[in-house]
Amino acid sequence: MHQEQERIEKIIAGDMRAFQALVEDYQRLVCHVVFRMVHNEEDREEICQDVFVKVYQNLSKFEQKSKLSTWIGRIAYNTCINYLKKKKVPLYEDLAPAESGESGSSPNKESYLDRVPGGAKLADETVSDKEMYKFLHEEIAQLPVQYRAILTLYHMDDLSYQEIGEIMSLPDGTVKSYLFRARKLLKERIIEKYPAEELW
Amino acid sequence: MVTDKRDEHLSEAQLQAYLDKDAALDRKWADKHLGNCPHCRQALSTYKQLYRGLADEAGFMLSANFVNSVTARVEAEKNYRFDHLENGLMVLLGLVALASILVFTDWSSALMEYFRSGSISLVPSFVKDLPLLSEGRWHLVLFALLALSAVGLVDKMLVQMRHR
Repeated sequence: MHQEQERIEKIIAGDMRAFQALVEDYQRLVCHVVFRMVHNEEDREEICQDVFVKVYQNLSKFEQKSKLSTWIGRIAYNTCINYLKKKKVPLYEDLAPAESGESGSSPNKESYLDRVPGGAKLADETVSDKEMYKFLHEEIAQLPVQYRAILTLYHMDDLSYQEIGEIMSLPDGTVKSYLFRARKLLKERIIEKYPAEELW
Repeated sequence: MVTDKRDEHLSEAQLQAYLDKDAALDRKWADKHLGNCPHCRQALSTYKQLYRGLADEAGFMLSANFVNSVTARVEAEKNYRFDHLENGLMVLLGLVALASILVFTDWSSALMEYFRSGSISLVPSFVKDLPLLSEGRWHLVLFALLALSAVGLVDKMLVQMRHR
């Protein structure tokens, strides 16, 4: 904490090396948030840059009431939300009900499966992690933006419910509930796509 | 959220709580149940695979020179801000200077005198004609010089900050 404070003071005093070290330390977190929330590949890196420019410009206003990672995460999240608003992407969709039936009646599910060449895999084929992850990433991309952000912050950045809540301005209970629902839905999609024996 | 129905399979919430290491779950009971229940083991295995997939970083890559690009942008933004600050300061000082001149001098009569005499090249006589100086208000001139020095100092500080 003391080191962090020292680094912040150095950056405010104009030490660009200290700022570069900060970018190196937090680029992974920012990249996770931005890449998961923004689908347009061409804009992603520029948005990541925007986040760090904002971090630099507002660092003197950081009051250290939260962790620096949470504060940077919030800037990243809000920058993405503003970008998506500009692009008129619907932000507050809810999940399709997880109990939508084995036929995959959710429109997202159908649209994805329609694009899969050959449809479901044969029972005697085993699924490689790589293939399953690819499928999973595509399924995650279909989720509403808030769910994507929560899944990423929890599983890729190991943030707690409270920290995620601070970043997204959501109560801890909501974060936990969204996380549960998203994982349950994804698990069901995996089972629908790959019958259980393929996963062993 | 994590209910404990000991005679049934682990619920979805319990399976997730198990992998999240949620303290609210009776872990001993869950371990024992998982040891005896292939159904729950399979469900847990699917969740484990999902968790691994959720932590998979494939595709999350920034360019190699990302840090340098950010630094360059920060520098550019900083210069842009200083340029605006400097320009704003200059405009403000220009206005103050113009207002001072209008307040402390009698330009209309001084200019009229010049046009009448037609001797624009005679600067010393122009200075002498200015009411400000002819009336012996040198302290105002001194004030103006100090103000100019202050402007020079502020400008120097801005330049130094920009370089830093």
